[in-house]
Amino acid sequence: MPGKLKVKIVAGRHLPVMDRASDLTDAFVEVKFGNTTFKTDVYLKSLNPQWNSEWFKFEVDDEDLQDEPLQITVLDHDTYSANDAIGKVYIDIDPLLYSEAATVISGWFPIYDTIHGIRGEINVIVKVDLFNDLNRFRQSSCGVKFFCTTSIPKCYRAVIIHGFVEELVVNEDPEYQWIDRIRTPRASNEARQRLISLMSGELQRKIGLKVLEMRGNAVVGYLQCFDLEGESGLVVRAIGTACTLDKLSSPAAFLPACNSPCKEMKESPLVHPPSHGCRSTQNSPIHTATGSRLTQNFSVSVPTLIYTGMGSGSAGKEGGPFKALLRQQTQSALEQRGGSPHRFCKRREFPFFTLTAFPPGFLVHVGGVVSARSVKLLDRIHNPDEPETRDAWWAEIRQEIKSHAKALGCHAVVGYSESTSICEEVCILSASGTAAVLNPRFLQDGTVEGCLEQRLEENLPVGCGFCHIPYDELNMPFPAHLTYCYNCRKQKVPDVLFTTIDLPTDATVIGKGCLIQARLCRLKKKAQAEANATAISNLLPFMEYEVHTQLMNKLKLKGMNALFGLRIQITVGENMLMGLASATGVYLAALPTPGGIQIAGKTPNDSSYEQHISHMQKKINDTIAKNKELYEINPPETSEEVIGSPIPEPRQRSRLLRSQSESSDEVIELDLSHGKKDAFVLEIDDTDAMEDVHSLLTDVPPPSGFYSCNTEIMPGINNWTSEIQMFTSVRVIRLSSLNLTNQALNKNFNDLCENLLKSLYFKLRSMIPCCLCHVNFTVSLPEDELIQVTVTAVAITFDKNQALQTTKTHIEKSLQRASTDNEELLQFPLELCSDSLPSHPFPPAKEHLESASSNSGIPAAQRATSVDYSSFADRCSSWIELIKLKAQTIRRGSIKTTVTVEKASPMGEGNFRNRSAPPCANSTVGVVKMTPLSFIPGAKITKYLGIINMFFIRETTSLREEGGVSGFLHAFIAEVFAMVRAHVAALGGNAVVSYIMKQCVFMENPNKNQAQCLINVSGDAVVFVRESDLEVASTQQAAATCQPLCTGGEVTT
Amino acid sequence: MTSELDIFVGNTTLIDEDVYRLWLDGYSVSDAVALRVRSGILEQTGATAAVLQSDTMDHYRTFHMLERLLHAPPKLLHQLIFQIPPSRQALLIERYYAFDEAFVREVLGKKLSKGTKKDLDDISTKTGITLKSCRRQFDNFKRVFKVVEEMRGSLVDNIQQHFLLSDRLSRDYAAIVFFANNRFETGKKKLQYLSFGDFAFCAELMIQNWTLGAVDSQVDDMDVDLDKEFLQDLKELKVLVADKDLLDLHKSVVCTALRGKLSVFSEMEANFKNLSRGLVNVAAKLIHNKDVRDLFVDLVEKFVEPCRSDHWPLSDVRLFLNQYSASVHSLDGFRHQALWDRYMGTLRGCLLRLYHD
Repeated sequence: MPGKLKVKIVAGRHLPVMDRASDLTDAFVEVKFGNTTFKTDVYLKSLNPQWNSEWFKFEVDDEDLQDEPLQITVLDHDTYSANDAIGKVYIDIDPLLYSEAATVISGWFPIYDTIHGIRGEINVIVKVDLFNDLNRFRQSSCGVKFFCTTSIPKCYRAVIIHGFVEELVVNEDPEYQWIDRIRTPRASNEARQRLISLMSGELQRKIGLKVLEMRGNAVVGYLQCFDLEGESGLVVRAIGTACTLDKLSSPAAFLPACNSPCKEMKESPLVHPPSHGCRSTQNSPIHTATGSRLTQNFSVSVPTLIYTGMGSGSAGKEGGPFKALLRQQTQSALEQRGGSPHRFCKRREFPFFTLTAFPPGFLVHVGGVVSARSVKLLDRIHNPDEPETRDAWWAEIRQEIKSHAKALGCHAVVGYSESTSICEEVCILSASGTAAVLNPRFLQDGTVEGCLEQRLEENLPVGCGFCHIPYDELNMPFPAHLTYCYNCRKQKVPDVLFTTIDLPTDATVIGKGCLIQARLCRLKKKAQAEANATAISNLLPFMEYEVHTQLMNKLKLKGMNALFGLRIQITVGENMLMGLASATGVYLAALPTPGGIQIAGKTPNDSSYEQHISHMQKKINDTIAKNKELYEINPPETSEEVIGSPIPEPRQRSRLLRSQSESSDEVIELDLSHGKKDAFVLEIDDTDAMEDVHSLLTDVPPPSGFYSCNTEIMPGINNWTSEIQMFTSVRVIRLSSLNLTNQALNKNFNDLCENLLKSLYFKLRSMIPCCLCHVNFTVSLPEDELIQVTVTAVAITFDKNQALQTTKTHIEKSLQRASTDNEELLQFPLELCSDSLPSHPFPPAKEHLESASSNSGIPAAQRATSVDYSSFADRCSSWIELIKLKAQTIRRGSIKTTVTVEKASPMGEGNFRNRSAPPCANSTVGVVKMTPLSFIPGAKITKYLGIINMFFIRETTSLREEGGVSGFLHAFIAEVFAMVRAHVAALGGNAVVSYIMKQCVFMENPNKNQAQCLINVSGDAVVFVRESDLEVASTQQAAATCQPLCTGGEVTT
Repeated sequence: MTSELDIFVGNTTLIDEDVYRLWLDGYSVSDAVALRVRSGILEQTGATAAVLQSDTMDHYRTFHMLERLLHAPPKLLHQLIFQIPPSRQALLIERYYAFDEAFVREVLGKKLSKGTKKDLDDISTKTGITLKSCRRQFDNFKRVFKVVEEMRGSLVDNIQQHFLLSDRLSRDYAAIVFFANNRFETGKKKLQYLSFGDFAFCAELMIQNWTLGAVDSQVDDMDVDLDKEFLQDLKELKVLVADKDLLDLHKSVVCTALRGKLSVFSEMEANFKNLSRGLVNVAAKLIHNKDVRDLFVDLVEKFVEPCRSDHWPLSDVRLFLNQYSASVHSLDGFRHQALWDRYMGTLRGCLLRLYHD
């Protein structure tokens, strides 16, 4: 018996009145795990019963521990008739199964009933005793940690990133037609909730086994989804990235996460910060088209777009051969491991990574966004024991993605995700990611020769490396428009980048970013089976193309040149297809200035028409100018200030380089400098195009003081304050079914999204200045004329003035400090290197500083500045100067700069560890923060308590009485939040990070006064500590840290 | 395109104070939107009317869901569904239980029953307060009344503990409960000049001195009901006016002391017997419930009005009342000094408060 589960039922409160006569309740509790059930005594006549039960003990396999939820049912005892259920609590005990997470689950849980919602609370204590039983053939995977966070979690260091893990399980859906069922709605809902809970447990266990096979110990970027396939069943599938993580020794060791949502870099042996990019141009052609094929179950593979660069250019000087070498090596690294007999073979097949932010140096180049879609007909006869069909479907899609990546000269895909859209028996499977070249160092256990590493690092100036094209310029699989990088001038870059990942923290960004959305609807004839699937697959390429065009137009209209976090969602309904693409636009300093948009008409003789066109043209130009001002995208040539302005360096650099490049490489340089040649031409020869132009101009920028993005951090904003507000907003509109045209549909959809955003801005106006981060739109088409849009995001306040003020003051202080510090800093990396990773020599000091700065929580723009300095400083060739400048930027980046510097080096860490327990106790009890981001501004995460993955069904047969559909859903979502918070609090946590609402399926039948909703949420439960709580201690610490450098270093490594 | 469903749920529940006020004031969503438009919010924020409508609906829905919890404020503190910072919780509760002066004057001292509830229509018309708001306020009074009516201990403390109200508001509610329980008449025309504050002041004095709780803190209903024994004993005071010698003596002591100090000395001298009779008779009658109810009417009729018609300044009233109550101690034939002080001490405070235009 590998495990003993112990449960104690303490008390209840706020129970509903179950006996009308006495206005009281005779409550008792059933505790069930697997097939064993215990009961408490009946506590007579109380709404606040004190059971204070004995410890109920379940002796179970660890396999069951992973699969089964603990099920607690509260009932009202009735002498004469059957006992009435008050409600249930499902507790996932998985967090108790790994040693570092929670040790006990204890707290008040809302008692939930699928018909009545929350009905009081129950206080429960749960413990697990695990026995080690390593000799057995393991079916369980206890101990593998799961994280929803799509970057390396804050208290950990990635030793190896193994790669892709996936699994799916299928079952029959206990309830596929909710309106006409025979058993009670409650019974059916509960069966469904329980089944899904079981399936998630099983899925997680199976994925864990795969991770163990790969010798990993954790899954990062774990994404689990449900496909409600109706009659054909229920699919639960998950993907993730297997890693070997090391816990950082001291809880205080990692950095203040306030500004950098990204990674732990301090201990990482890597030199440059992560980089990613991808390319795309307006007329990017369809890259590959896989033909439709009919298999036993109908399936259509859809031609896939790869957003790539276009145009041609000469080969970079040393780029070609070097890149080939690198590619070869990484490829072999990947294959080597995959080929090893002990490891899971699928890993070799799919070098995919669900991460969106990476340890420094992990990502070398980015090839472009790759996506694949496939339309399938769900098979009517379903065999739960054979999920092979679904497996094969996904394998097909992944294969396609892999080949697209290859075509882009990349061997890996990062920021990878999968999704489905189901309508009746048609299902669209989608997968997308960013093709990339990765640094092999992380992928295998220290067998790479050092020389390559060094070359790599020398060749890739930090801050722009990820923009450089990974493919061979001479042998490009598609036309691309390349220029020399505006940052280093050595390598080629495309004119526009699209990626699915987060903005690398070291990217040099000018100005601020903004949320960019492309929205599109296409009507489709109602059809059955194959005809329907064919119709859909015929529409898809056009939709993708249009979505891409819209994104491009909007990007140019904003005066920006790159998209991050791109997510394109295609939703299928009975009679229409919807496409919604969201991304965060930024201006990357390494890429050329985007050209404008030019409008051309096809009937140039008509003078009024021409007037109209010139009017439109003027409007567009005005908008671009306005946007540039709004997002502070200053042309690099204007300002003189170097230090003190947030983005000083690019100007100087580009001026320097411009003169240089004019002599050496003038053709390309001249072409791009004034953008006329590659200006985007919009031909408005028909009404459709006119619509496009109009829709371009109808997107209203957020009111002043507001910014929005769908990535983790907003480029250009770094001084977050601690107020956060996570929210979910849902809207459903009913289209008037008369005369629906594509245009009307587009307009409706566009208005829906825009109005929703406007409402959010209005609601959150009290938080100004603030930024909506991780804005996540989901579209579904629940019925013929209904469009449902669900948005989850977090609003974070920031201090407008702080950055400017601190800049100056910190520079002075830091200059002093830097001069005293730098010698010590210089010595240090060699030690670290020899201790931890002897097989990877690399140039010492520079790297350490690099990692220090990225470590220190300096957000993109500022860190980017430091990056720029390095290229600049090469010219001055003054080492000390460089260090000073870097230290300066570190200081500029965060308020608690002294601490930052100390923490970035291991000596700081050593000292911090000596300081005993972190003041967790200080954090306010009761309040649980929720955020879709992986960090909490102004605080640092000290512990990950485990994954939260919850599935709820709520149903009502008294819709009107509960306030109609809005009242019903509002209450339900509030309840879901409450239950998530309660579980986190019971685990001892005070926040959920990387929170996501993966599903919100809402169905209504107003005529019957009924509605039903299914919600699936997940996230990571964590403990965080406010930085202000640490402030005093750390500053004291900081003063003492200079001296015991060597000892400190030893402690940590 | 019609909006079927439109919701916003924050992890921290958003509370818009302005909308909350409109909701409390009983405005419908459309009225609230109209009022918000008039406040110029659209211009300030650049929002559209549709946005405002959606926002208002959202807040109303939230308030509606919160209302159930507001009925038992400790529940609001312990519930898990809405995450609301403590300061906001306090604000929600305080505002919910706040009431309109105009409204409270209409129901003060009335029985908090269905019958009164039916009159809310008229009150609403009369005061211009929406019926919805009247209902909320009435239900609040009734709810507080029901909870604390039978409770031991200090009335104010009980209210504070069970409804988490501020000290100020708890005192007001104590007055309301006290008035409702004793059914003091406050609606007569001649009482119209009195504010709720005047009554609340008197209520507090009476609770402190005239109830059971004032002498024995271990009795039920201690703060809500007047001390019956005390009322019974008050009959004994009658001797002050019934015994002619005593009355004359009392008058002469007061007049001697006040001679030259009052601007209205002659009027006082002329009226002394009437005033004294009035005050003592009020005391003597308090044994009958009916007369308890008419306490304020009597006080105004028998004391406030006569003085006012003679244009007594407030300072003179104070001097007179002080002297009037104090000089009883020098009346040798009078044995109920303690009783007199308990009665007159409170009454003097009340009268001074009631004496204004």
